Amino acid sequence: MAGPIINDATVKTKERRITIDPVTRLEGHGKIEIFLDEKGDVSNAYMQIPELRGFERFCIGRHVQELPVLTNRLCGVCPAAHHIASTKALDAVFNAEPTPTAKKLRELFYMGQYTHSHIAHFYALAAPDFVLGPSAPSNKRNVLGVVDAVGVPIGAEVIKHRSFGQKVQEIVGGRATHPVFGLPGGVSKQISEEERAQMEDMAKSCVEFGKFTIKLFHDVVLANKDYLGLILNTDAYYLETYYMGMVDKNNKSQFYDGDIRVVDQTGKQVVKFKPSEYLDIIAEHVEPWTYMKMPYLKSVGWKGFVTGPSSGIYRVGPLGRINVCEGYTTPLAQAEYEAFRKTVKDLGVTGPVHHTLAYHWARVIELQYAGERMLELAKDKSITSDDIRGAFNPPKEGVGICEAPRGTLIHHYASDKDGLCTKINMIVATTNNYAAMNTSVVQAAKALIHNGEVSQGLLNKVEMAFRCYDPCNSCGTHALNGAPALQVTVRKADGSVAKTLRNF
Amino acid sequence: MCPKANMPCRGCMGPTKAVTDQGASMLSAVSSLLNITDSESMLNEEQIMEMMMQVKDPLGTFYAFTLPKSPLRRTVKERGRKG
Ligand code: SF4
Ligand SMILES: [Fe+2]
Repeated sequence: MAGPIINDATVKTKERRITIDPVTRLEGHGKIEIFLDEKGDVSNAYMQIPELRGFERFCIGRHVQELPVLTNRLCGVCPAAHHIASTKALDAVFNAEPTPTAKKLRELFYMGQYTHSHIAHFYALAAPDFVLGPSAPSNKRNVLGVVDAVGVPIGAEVIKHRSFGQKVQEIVGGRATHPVFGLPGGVSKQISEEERAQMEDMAKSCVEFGKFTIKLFHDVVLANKDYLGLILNTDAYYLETYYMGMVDKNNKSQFYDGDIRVVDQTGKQVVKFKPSEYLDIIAEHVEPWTYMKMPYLKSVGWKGFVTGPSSGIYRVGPLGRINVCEGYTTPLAQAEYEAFRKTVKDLGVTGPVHHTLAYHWARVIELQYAGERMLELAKDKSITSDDIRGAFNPPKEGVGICEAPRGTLIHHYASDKDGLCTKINMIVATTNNYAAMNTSVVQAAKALIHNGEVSQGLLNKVEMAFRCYDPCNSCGTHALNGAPALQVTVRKADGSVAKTLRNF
Repeated sequence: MCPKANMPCRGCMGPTKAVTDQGASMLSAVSSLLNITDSESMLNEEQIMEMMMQVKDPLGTFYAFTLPKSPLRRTVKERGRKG
């Protein structure tokens, strides 16, 4: 196989405005506008989310216990995350403590979500940049190109383990994509011994696949000095932000349940809070040019798209979680975490890792953890117990938080006495990251585009700055079969279109 | 699918061909459970209201996935145009 293509030839543009629309290999729709000054350097850039969906409006008046099934339709990739956050919000609304079996089943189900979601991002969305190279021709830079390069047997393993994740969701959650099993204080479905054994087998295989993926990441990405150079490029891919993520009482990373920890740029804990306290910690900023809000740390304040201790911008998702935690509860993930910490320490980094592309490394460690945790839970014979529903009380108000694959996910509902929803607020994972993603896009564009010299490869490197966050803008996949549809519009200063390049 | 997980079917795959207005069909099914035979005319407005209010969220319950197919919205639109 030929080596990855890192750079390509640039052309000089006289235009002052470059539009990448749609941006590709993310979930949902996005658009990047890059504005050049007279010298052809970047004066500013915006990542716009041109969709408005209105879920929070049409959930009002619905039966509050229907929300896990309604809100999971926000997305075709992470419905399980919405279902879990929503079900936990119902636990709080109905003041219902889930039974031990129900908690285990929910977490087991959730490891299925992590497994297929992280596999999809790493292999289908991120790998084209690493296996084929950021400047490979765009008609090759997609999941089919990756399969071409690594071979069909590996491609088949990828698809198999992705489907294992979905299958676990189906067995426990009732449906492979949009689950239905979450109830206040429990779950609706008991697991049979055959189902448990089947999941144990799949989980064993997922643990092996996690090992394989970590090895692949080392061989393909870390062993390649060009990629290492990209990852360590502090001009293009480096933001000193706050971080947020869920941990257990020993500060080990957690996805299903725990407290939310925030650390500063040096790794010092700023706050550790319970779901019900989120409004004291997070505030939301609105910009006129996009439909997505930008949350920030209330105690620090909104200072615009800047980083450092005086700006309330924080990051969530794999990089957020790995920076707030002190390791993992499972052996293989912990070992790789230690390898990660050692590598960055050798580079002189002792606190949080601010290198944006390190998201990818954190994500493969989490894939390993999800497989191991899935196995722990699937091996536990007590999960077949019929003790799946706890007591509940009249509905009031409550907050549920879990770590979605893309970051901290918050659902907050209030109910009237009839059980109809009167208030709903959701802060989804990608929203938490939005301000940081936009800052990353500005940073990469400024570092990579000079004198009006642009190329498909350069623009893709700008896209890489946000793609690693694995944004889920609508919560809905937009690239059918994974083939990227890329359109770059070059505009004159007056906004009229001068030239359009497309590959579809 | 959902009944296998002990959850009710919400009709998320949409109405079948045989049904034009799923919400109306459901309301008629539910109303047949009410114990009234030829005595509707004897009920006053308040009593009818009280019965109807037992269904807390008719739109979300009966039309969750079928409103686009219902003629309800079309009717409303046509009247709106005339008026
Ligand atoms: S139609 Fe939808 S709601 Fe009904 S059983 Fe099938 S998946 Fe569930
Ligand atoms: Fe999503």
